[in-house]
Amino acid sequence: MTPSNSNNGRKKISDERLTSLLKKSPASFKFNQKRIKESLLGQIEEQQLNKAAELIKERTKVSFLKRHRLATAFGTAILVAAGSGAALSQAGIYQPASTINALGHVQEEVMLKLPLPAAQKADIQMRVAENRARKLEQALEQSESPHTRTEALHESSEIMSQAIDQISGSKQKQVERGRSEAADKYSTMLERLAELANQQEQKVEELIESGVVTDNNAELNNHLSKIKSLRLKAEAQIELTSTEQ
Amino acid sequence: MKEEQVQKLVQQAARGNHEAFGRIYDLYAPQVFNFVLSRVRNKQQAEDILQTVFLKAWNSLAKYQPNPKAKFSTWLFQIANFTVIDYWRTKKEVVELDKLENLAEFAVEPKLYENYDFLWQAFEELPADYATILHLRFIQDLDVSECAQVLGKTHVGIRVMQHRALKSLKKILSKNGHDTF
Repeated sequence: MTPSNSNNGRKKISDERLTSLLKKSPASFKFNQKRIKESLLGQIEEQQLNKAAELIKERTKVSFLKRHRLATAFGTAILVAAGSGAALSQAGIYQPASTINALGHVQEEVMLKLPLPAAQKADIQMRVAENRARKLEQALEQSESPHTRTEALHESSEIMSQAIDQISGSKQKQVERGRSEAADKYSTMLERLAELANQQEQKVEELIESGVVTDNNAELNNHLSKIKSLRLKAEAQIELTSTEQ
Repeated sequence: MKEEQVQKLVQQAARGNHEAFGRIYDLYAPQVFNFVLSRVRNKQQAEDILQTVFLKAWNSLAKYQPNPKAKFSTWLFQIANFTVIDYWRTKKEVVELDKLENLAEFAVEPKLYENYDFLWQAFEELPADYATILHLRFIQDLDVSECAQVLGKTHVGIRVMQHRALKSLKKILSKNGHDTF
């Protein structure tokens, strides 16, 4: 478009002139980019923690009917697995219970390796640690095999150690970002892990004192010292970060 | 950064990678902030809206479909535009003139910004959709196709709107005595 002339003979602004003026105009403003970024990332992590918390709530709020249906379906599956497993075990091929257990571990390991956000990963690690602690308790009380007990002791402390490291790291990040609410949620997880470790310590001490399990005394003592140091580590992380807060 | 590299970051962020999303923020926050500030003319509110825009983007990353005809930034501007519209829609009070901040205070080049004061004053008098199209087309340098995507209009619609916006801006400049420069 060519410039048009106004009544007094001066050149009126053309579309090209106006657009070039707009393109050259300095429309850049200062703002607190770093602070907003920290706040944004903290908000995202908090949102994920809340989602994880809601998921846990939903899982625990399964209606009676649903639970009944699930139990029926699960029971049928177990019966089918046990039935076919029993046939195979009679043939000396495998043991059904250990197969179901091993499948659970594989699933847990796959879940732990997924590239998930820190909050979700922490939630999964918590649940895996709880699951392993439960399995350890069962192995110590019910298993006749020293090998199963040794394996359960080893896995339980390893998973507990991973969970404490991961959750402590995530909490530290939140503290550094000044997100005390999100950091508190990780503290709650660490408290739960410390409590689990404490329960295990008591159980193992009881077993050693009672002399019921004699094959695994060395492993039991080793596990006791490991789990004690893990509990102290978790407690130190709670203390350390809350002092910084 | 090339669009391909941006798309890689977007894929990583969509898988939950905070660091990748942080890099996307570093890359586009200034552009989005300048756009939002030009619309709301209040630094605090623009900062709040900026955070909302990126939070919405994070929550919608799974739904984001790369389009060979549009850059990732187009999608961000689309979210920013909707967020600003929502902001005006939900804002009950009428903004008084004295609440509008003097943006020269926050300009990266305040002196240069003041030289263009006449243009910004005319901009303020424009209807919101006209100011938006001019900002996107000429200040953020989006092409017609990208603007069409951001504003949900056809190419023809964008061209017509742009023509009307320029005409309206010229009219205001003329009324304010700045029709020749």
